Amino acid sequence: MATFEELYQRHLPVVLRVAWRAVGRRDIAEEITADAFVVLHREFDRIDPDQLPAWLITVVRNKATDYWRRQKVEQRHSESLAAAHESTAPRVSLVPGLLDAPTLKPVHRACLVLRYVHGMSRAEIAARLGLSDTQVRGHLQYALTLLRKELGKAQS
Amino acid sequence: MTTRPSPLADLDRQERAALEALGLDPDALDRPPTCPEPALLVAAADDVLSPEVADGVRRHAAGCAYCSRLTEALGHVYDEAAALPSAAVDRRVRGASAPAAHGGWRWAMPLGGLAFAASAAWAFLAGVSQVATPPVPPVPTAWPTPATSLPRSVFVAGRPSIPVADLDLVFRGEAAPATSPADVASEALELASRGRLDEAVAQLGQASRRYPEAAEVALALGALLLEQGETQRAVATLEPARQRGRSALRSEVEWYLAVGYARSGGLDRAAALLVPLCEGGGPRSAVACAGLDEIAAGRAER
Repeated sequence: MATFEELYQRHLPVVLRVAWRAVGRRDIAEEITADAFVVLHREFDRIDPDQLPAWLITVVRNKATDYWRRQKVEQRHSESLAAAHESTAPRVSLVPGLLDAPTLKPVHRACLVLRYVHGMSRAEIAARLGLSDTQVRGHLQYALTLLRKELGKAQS
Repeated sequence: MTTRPSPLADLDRQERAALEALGLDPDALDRPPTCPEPALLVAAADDVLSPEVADGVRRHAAGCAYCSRLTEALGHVYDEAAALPSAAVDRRVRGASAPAAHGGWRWAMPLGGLAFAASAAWAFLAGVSQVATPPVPPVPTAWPTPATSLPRSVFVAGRPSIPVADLDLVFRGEAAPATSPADVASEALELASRGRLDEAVAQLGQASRRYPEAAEVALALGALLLEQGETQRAVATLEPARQRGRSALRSEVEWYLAVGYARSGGLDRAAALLVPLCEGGGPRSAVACAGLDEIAAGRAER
């Protein structure tokens, strides 16, 4: 029978991936993932290994749901939500077609939209994507340079 | 209440120049009023939101070029990056699975064998969300009780999860709904989870005066007072709340009341509260049954 360590190593990537997709922040995802494995360790004698990783993912999903319930409280009290906007369309004209440029990797696309459509700071993007501030800055610079080239091609 | 800085406050000269080269006016950049929080997009795809909210998010994403691209991009980024090593997870899991005892209500690992580990699992589950987790079969255990009459291993107060009435995640641009007692309680529990226990208790104290009939506030305050060791105050807070709120909340109130009575030597009162919880088959059933076993074992030894 597999040891706890073996199961931990085997299932950690998928559980962390699910947690991260569910809450959108690496630090929260790591916390939720660790919680799930700690519960697994304490219940280890009673859990059938064939139930994994489904059992772990269920725990993660439930914790993610709780996280969003608490986030709602924070969002409601956020001053930025109190501002009323009249326009219904994004004011940034980051031409959607340019976002399809084949040389743009998903991380570039994510940084561009988070930055210029959702208005996030570099620090916020870094926290969400589990990157450093320097990496985010680098991705944005590279992506903007690529877009400039694509725009130049489109115009000519 | 948090204050967000203005969007793109950290725009530097290089980035500004790059945006201008693309024909964009950096000073006109602003948050779009109707796009949801980015992580909601992926969460909707992964079915962790309520159905109504998930439908709304998906409908928006289907009609918004930016959000549909962002959903796909974020999914890829999370998937790829999640495969990278996570020192933070390793530290916590290996630390919790090491044989040495840990302090703190959440990681309580009493010394002395698997029986204590099992009781700590129930104590931990008491602090885990009320949202259904995979079923854990109740396994009564017998372990040596301490010399005093206070059973310790089961009666560890965790933090309750306050069910919030509606799951309408507010999209930007819409008016924020009024604060409810459940919101206040949930916010205070979040504060406590970040180590600001005294502040959370103070907030709930104020809230209990503003919402004297709110079971959620009494529950959260009672649980945190138990955590602070203020057992008498916790019992005094929780006792009047027994008849308020929804039945799920009443069960929680009765559990924490039982913990309070058990800790202060009122074992008969604790047992009286635990019997219906044990027999009711609800979320507290397993730990309530374990608590009754512990009280019985303690009495048998005396």
